[in-house]
Amino acid sequence: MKDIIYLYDGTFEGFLTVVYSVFKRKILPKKIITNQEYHYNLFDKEEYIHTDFILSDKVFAGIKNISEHAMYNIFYAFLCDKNNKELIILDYIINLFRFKEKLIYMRNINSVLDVENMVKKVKREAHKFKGFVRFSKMENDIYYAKIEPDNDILEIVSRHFKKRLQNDLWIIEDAKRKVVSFYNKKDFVIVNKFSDIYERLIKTNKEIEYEQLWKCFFENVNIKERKNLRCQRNFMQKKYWKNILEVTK
Amino acid sequence: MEVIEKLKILSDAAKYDASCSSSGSKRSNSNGVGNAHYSGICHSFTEDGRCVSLLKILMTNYCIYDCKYCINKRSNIRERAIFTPQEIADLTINFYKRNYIEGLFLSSGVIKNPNYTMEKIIETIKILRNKYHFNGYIHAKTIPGCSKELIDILGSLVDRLSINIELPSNESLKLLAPDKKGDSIVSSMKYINEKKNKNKLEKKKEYFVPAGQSTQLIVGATKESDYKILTLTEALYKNFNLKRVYYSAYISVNQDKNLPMVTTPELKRENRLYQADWLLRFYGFKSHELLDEKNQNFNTLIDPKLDYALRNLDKYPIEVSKADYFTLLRIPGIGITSAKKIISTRKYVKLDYETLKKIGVVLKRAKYFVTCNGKYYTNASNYNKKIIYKELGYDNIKQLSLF
Repeated sequence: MKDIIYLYDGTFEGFLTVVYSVFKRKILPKKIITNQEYHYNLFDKEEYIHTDFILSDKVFAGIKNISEHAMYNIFYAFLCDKNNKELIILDYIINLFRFKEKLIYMRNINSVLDVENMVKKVKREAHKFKGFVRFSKMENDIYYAKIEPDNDILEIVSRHFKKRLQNDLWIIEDAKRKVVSFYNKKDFVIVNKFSDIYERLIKTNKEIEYEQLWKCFFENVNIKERKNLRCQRNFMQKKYWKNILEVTK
Repeated sequence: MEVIEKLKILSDAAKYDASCSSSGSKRSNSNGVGNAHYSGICHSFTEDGRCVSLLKILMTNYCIYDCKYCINKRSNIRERAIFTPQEIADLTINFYKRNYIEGLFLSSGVIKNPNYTMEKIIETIKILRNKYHFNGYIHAKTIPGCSKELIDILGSLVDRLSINIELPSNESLKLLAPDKKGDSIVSSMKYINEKKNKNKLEKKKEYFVPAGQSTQLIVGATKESDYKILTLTEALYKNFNLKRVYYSAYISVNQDKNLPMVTTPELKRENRLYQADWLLRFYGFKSHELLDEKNQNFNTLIDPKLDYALRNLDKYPIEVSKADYFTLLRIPGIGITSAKKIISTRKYVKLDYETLKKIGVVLKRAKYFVTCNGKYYTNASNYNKKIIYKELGYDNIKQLSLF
């Protein structure tokens, strides 16, 4: 018999629907992958699972009923860009139903450690981006920022700025995933497959003045006698630099 | 003078203050701009590897004092500038909305007199808090010798206050900062701490320095040993509940017969002091366990915790499946995170070395100092002082540090 591969739409609800199917059919898939990433081949038997909010809600409630902490871990781990994250999280969920809430601390099980590390990775990057996001003020008083994080942290970061800049209009674009978060002074919405937002905005002249002021500060607050580039790059990895105003060349 | 010119002069003049923290405050955003993030946020990192969190500037670098170690001392011929309160408030708000910064760190040279300087600082912060409804993080310097009334007002506006001791003893202060008085620094710290405690007791709701106080000590400008510095630090944490003591390796900015010429700052020494500082605050160590009258300075070749372990091998090996939290923290290679994980894991799972490694224990180090379910890590050797000293190269380290 061929190994089964489940395809889904990449959403968290879609993934939970797959989890439901696994429990229902009692067959472990070889892989769970989004239909965009999947390449068809002769050897595998694939099946697309349609996202079903009623079923995903059932799984969600079932997990939350056992442990809210575990639900939190699963949600954050799902945002991680790790390969095969779906199977790791599936294993975690299967074990959760067996060992209940104490699973979180059973670090001798691989998927428990993996999930813990994925959560850590996502939270760490989200925290970094609360600092690394750089807004430019555009015409019509819109603040715009572009980010390209490894993990899918746009929602976490948006929640942060919703509190912080509650009386301003802002847009954050995740250029890697082509998703954009729009905030209208009340709430934010995240829109998929949106890529040319920057071309529609116009930077003000005043903006260039503030950019220069910031760069001036950044240069002058540095102590030359203490130069330590390795330390700088450890804290602010080079891969992020192209969207951080003061270090882009 | 253009704002950018002022910014250049007054950020350069502020850079020797090591503090960058924006943590410890939970100020929320009530229909204004910004909020404080309890754990603090770093927004950038300069080439020296230091974090940029706050707009760290002086209001002015004019100063009536002539402290010998300070680049802004009166007798230095330097370009001087002064920001207006409005200019500082506008820079802060505009940097903040672009997410360049987490807030403002405002310090100043002393102009006219301490009270006048404090009033100007207060005026600036009032614009931010009352006119712009800014709820982001503000750290301000208390000017030594100002009135208590002004401390009350400033304390109700900011998140953190600091006053730098700079020189770790009264003799050094007299020698290098003749205009400053150690007593006035200490008395203002004491005053702020007492007021904070009183507000807490009376369950007052209003903000007063919610993120607490900090200070800075210069390392290497004067002759004080690490032991002297660390006991001072310990007393500051204990007596005044300071949130942080910062250490700043001295760099020569002025020539003076009473000052050493230092072109490469003692960064390793500074690093050891920070490590020891952490051991005091989070690991339950006391200063006399790390240094004493006989050993006055840290070994630059190994960190203070490993040094402690090697000098106290009779207190090891520690059984990881039983030891309590603070005992686990005494194991080199085990930090706060791994100690907590050990405790939560061992309730449900029998620990082994494989699991320890996976949860983040640095076994390379820890293996000499632990047993796990009664088993020492290497079967080939038992817990043996000579072998541990040899494998960790401690004999060489001891010899080298004599020179």
